[in-house]
Amino acid sequence: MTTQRQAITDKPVVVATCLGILFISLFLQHDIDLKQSMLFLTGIALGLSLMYALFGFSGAWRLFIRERKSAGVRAQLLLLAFSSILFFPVIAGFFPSLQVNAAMGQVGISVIIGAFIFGIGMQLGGGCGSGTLFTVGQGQIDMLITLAFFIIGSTLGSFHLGWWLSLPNLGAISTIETFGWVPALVTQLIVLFVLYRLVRLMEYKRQKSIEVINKKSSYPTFSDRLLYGPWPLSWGIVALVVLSFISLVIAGYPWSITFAFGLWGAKIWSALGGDIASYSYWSSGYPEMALNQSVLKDTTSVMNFGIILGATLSAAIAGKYAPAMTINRQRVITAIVGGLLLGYGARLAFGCNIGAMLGGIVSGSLHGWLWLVAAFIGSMLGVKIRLWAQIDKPLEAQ
Amino acid sequence: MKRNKVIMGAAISLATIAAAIDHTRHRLPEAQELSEQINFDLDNGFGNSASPCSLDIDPDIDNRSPCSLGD
Repeated sequence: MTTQRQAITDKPVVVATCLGILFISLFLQHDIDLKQSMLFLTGIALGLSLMYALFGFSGAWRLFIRERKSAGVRAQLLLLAFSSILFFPVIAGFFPSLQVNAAMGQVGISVIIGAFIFGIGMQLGGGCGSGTLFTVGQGQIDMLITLAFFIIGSTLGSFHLGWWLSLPNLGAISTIETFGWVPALVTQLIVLFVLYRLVRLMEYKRQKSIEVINKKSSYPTFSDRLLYGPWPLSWGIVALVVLSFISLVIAGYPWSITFAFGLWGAKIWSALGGDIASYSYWSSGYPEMALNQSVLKDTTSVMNFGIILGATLSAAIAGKYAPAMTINRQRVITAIVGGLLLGYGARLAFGCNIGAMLGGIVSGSLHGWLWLVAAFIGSMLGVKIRLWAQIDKPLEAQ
Repeated sequence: MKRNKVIMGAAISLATIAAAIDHTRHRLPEAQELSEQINFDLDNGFGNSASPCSLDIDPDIDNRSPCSLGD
């Protein structure tokens, strides 16, 4: 079996990717600092994990909305629960040696609208923040279009963010600061448990069975499965919990993705002669700093590069790199519209499913929960649009 | 599949060139500064950074938050 697996490995891509990873990590350590190099390698591990476990958010939500199959959604709830257990005490300062910041966002109109738009974009574009990165890494060329317009949308969103943030809001609300980290954590775990049971019940009512998260594999050995994938979702949960915690400790704040997209777009716009300085978002704070220094000094950019290359490596090992596909006009249009909605929505909502939802919820920020609700409603509309546009067939026709 | 690999290769090459141009446009660190960076202290260096996607509530890092709009 192992020999058969080795035969499908795309060796030239594996070698080229390994050399690229080695060069970039050494370059970062030499030219920037050890922290960036470690974050890049954390990104590599995240890309490997996301790709091997196929840990997506868009597809899992769509499957639940359409068919009530909840394995992916339950895996996400477990990810949130286990991450909260690790993050809450650290963010609350229970371990004084670990100085980290929470991912806070204001609870208001901008998050509701932004996440709702993002939810639609997830279903049209074919991926969320993390999903877009690892499918690009896998070599799905249609996702290159989504990513390009994700970047454009995120840049446009950053231009208008000042106006959106001036809309009514309650400010940033931290459950950790309001209630203390232990009551806040217990409450959050209870809410997640109730949601877990609810989606499981909904699946049982529709399907008359429950899909397990820890699916059995046809591979004879653990090492085969580890090296060639696919991993069960449970492995993905463990990997993402551990790696996002490592990211928190090294970077000093929770893992995020989409800030880099706006930054790349702003840098390209600036290089083309655009006037970036006139936009308030790019003329103060972290964005200004990131804009005026090398892209390799930006944490999210370096981690995103790592995620793409990690996904490339795992796809090449498993013989799934650059799968054959035909891209019709409809797919191009949905990738463009979806990418724009993803980017614009993410900027308004303080991030994507990773930066705002995962980062916000495990930081005890209420905007993360608001993001989850609004994006899920947006995804429900996105699923309907897919049916209307005949991207998906009605269930009875399948 | 081969065509897709060529497209992906071209995209990655383009991104690499863009990152290299961006990196070289910025001031390279001085030798002493570089040395300090290499000797990064794990205990002290991994904190005190603003989240790129948050509204920072720590007054010490207000001016480093990408999502706050400053004054």
